[in-house]
Amino acid sequence: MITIVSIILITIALIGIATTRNLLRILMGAEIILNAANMNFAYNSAKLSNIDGDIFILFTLIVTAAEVALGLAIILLIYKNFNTVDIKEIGRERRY
Amino acid sequence: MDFILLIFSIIAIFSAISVFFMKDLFKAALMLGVVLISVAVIYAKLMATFIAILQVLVYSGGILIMILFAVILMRTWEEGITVKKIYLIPATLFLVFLVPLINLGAVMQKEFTVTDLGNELFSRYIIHFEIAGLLLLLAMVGSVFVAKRWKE
Repeated sequence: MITIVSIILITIALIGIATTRNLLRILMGAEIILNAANMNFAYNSAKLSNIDGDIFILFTLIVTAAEVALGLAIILLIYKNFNTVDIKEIGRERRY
Repeated sequence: MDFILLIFSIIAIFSAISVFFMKDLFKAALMLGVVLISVAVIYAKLMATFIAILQVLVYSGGILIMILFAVILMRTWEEGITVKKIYLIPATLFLVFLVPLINLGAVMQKEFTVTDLGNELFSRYIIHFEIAGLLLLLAMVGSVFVAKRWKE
């Protein structure tokens, strides 16, 4: 069941990332995908009674924190340069 | 059948949908918080108590606040994804058809404590732990470097 929920969450986030035009929404979709994968790790760790899945969730948490910090800094830089976070408009009026 | 697991899975799925369908970006970020806390509840039901606490602390305490600050800083009033309401019917039908697939495999009874996690983290995974610390340091320095206001 957890596997099915994880699959549905990943599908929703992928469709959302593919169709949205806002950079912040794309970042949120990446968060949802990582959370769904973590749910799978927790389920298998509980089912197999093996602690490696829980350890891996810890490392994914660390990498996610780093990813969000850097991603938000990059989005802030884009917003300062282009005055928008819409990827279509950024592609249209690219200066560099 | 675990009732709480089912309810919070459904909450997680529907708020994940509304992350992309909310017109206001701020409300979308708040719905992301609902997804994260539902996942924390699912962790707690899967006997990963420490991971659940860490999820609430790190995700909805740190990452969500950071995303909310960014949203407040650069909020533009754009439209969300527009999909016709009629398309929600086959989507919910799909979910209903998935219900017979639910397999309630027996989850073990052993619970990993913080002691187990710490012992494992500082013996077998010590190199990974150090590299993760280095990664966090690099991300911090890098994000300050990127977002710095450069003098012309």
